[in-house]
Amino acid sequence: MLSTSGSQLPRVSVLVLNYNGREHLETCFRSLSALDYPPDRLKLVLVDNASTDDSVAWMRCQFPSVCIIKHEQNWGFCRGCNLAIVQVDADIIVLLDNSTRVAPECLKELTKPFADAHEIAVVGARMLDSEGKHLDFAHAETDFYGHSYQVSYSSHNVDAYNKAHPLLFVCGGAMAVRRDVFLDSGGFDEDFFACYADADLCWRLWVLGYEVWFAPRAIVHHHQPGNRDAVADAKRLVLYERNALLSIIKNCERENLQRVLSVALFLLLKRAYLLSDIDPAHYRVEQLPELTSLRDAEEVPQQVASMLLAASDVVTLLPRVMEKRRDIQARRRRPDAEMPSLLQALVRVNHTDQEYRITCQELANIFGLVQVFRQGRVDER
Amino acid sequence: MSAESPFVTVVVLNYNGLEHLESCFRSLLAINYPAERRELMMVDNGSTDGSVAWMREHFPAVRIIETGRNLGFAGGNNAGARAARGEIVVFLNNDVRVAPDWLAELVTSFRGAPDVACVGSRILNWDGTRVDFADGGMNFYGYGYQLDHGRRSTGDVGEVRPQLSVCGGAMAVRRDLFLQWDGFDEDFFAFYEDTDLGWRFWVLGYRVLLAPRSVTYHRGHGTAGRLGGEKRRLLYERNALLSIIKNYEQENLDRILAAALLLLLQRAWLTSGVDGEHFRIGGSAPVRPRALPEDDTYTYRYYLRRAWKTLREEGPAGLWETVRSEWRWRTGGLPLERALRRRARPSTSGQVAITRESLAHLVAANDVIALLPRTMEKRARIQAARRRPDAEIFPLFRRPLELSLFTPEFKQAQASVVTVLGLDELFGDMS
Repeated sequence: MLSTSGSQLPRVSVLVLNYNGREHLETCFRSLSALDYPPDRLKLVLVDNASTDDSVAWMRCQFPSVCIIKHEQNWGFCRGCNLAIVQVDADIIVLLDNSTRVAPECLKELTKPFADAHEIAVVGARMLDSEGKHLDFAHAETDFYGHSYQVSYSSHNVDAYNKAHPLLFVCGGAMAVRRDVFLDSGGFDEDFFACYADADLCWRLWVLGYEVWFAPRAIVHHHQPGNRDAVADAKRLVLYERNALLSIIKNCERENLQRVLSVALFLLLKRAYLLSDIDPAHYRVEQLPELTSLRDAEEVPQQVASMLLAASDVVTLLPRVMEKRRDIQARRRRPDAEMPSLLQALVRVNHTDQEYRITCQELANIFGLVQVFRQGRVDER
Repeated sequence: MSAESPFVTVVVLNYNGLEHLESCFRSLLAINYPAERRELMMVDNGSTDGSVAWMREHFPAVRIIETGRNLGFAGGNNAGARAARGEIVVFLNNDVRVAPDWLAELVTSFRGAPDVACVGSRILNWDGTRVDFADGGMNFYGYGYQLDHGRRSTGDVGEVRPQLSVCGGAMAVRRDLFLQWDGFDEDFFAFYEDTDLGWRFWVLGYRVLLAPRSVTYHRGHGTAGRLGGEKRRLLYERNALLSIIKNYEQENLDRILAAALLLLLQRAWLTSGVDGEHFRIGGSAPVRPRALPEDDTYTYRYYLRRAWKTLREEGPAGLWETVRSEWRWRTGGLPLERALRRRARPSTSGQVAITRESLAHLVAANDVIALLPRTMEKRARIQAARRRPDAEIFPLFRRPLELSLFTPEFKQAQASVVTVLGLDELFGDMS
């Protein structure tokens, strides 16, 4: 157990992962320099993922006391963090997005829960938008097919969830993690590259018997990226869809894996079908022969291709994922039924399409998943 | 069954096949079978080419059942079976002609064997030189195969033998069993309903046989040949999934369904015509775990080697015939232009061109999801009446690990899924 009394505050390293984010660094590190935390117990680190802008030179000049870890290439979020965490010495690692601004008391609030309970391995901060008008992160759910959501995202109720509570995962953009547990659990899954790596790590920690908590008074302001372009969205979706499946395959209990995975794959196909918006009549033999002269390909939203590529990646990675699965399951300390928050999302499917929501319910019933995840969650502290 | 020849109804399903009817029914009238012990029937699936009027004029003795619209292979034949008077019902495609002993050889296998539910004919090409169907198999996710399709027909036809299923284009069933167990699954519309029926009979404790001395001659893909690749793809993918969902034991379904869906998605990706590299954030491409053993099957070199061998053994005509039949079977008549076309990339418009063949996989999956509640009810009925464990049926699959897309990429993907999920152990020596 880590003590929080007086000078015995845990030794913390704050890691800010950066890739061509020079514009954000001044705000971020200015706020970090103003943290209310004993300087001898705190180390600030910039982890640079081989930026091609002048991030590193600028930091050396403006914040000479900040330690810099320079990667020789852009390793993505997962490997970028993993490599850095091995190198720093601390009790607690705080991972912070570069486009953030922390409140002075944030770090004390974020590290306090570790002193309360040995099982707590990760604590997440309350994230607000840069003006503090909208909620960014306060609670999260992962549904049974591996997709994770920030509940109440962009809600005006910035004080929602004002009690500390356990949750399946917290946002990797502002999380504190015990370094020893992080390293022992294998850290972020580098096959993910980025996206859902935080949710996957936290899910794994729950499986291994640890707990993940939310610290409501640790406040971090998060600058929202502007309009993203369609191509970037399609590329990101490959990672989201792929990593959700990888996470299921690794973390689900043996008895549930096959059914959960089947349902997850059916739902992936359903989402791709609905998104494609094709007219199925053109594919039906009953339409013979009027439509046989239609063109060979159809223009569809490119996210459909992202979803297919994601599944193909899962097939490619399957041998290694199953090895990781064996390691995790061999160390399991908590049954699936005791995971927090799995069922809530099943009942409240985060999708606007009515047909899709009905499909979710139907598949969950047919494959008996409702019973699997209906049971308890850990008690509120 | 009485000692004399059983009463048989021959059901010829027809949909706009006027051109085939004369040769088909002329050969049927010439068979060696007591005329008073057989009923000839044409089930017309709503033809618009005048088939019915032509039949009334030229073959007035043939009984005609009109369904009024195209109910597909399953619905049309089921309607014929319901209307049939025979204790044995024989389903026959319209684009075939039959050998004189065809029917007698077919029904003799039912004699004294009440557990035989279904018997199939050997099907040759029109001039009898090559095999169309004489040996059937299936892979673990429900893809059916005509194992010696295109092989030269020889005199050595072998004995009556058990098979997982026989071709629905020339098969006989016991009418009572067929109707009791719901006949061909009408949700299938067409393709694989014969495989599904045969598999179901085995699960229920019956047997399915191939009678090699019962011969029909097939003109080639009459109706099916006119289908676009994506329409065929939809039927294959959907029906294979429906079939495995209905017929596997629970434990095996649990092991296999996710693998089947992963491989369906993999086929959808590999046929999409999309350039994956342009969908990558730099550095995020998966790092392949470790290469599977070197294997050049289905590469260009493999096909060159095979072509050279065929040319030496069977001459130019043999090579031409083999290439044609392989191309049609393996690609479903894939247009050559697709192989040459530039692969699609993402754009700021947010749209990308995906082949209709690939999108057909999504329609298939969506169909399966929509049919799932009903399919699970069918499954419950079949499994409650199960009389034979899967392990005894597996040897009849013959090709449990056969591919469904003949490219090196898919071969590697399937091998990986099979090994990692332990499906090779399930099928033991057969793999």
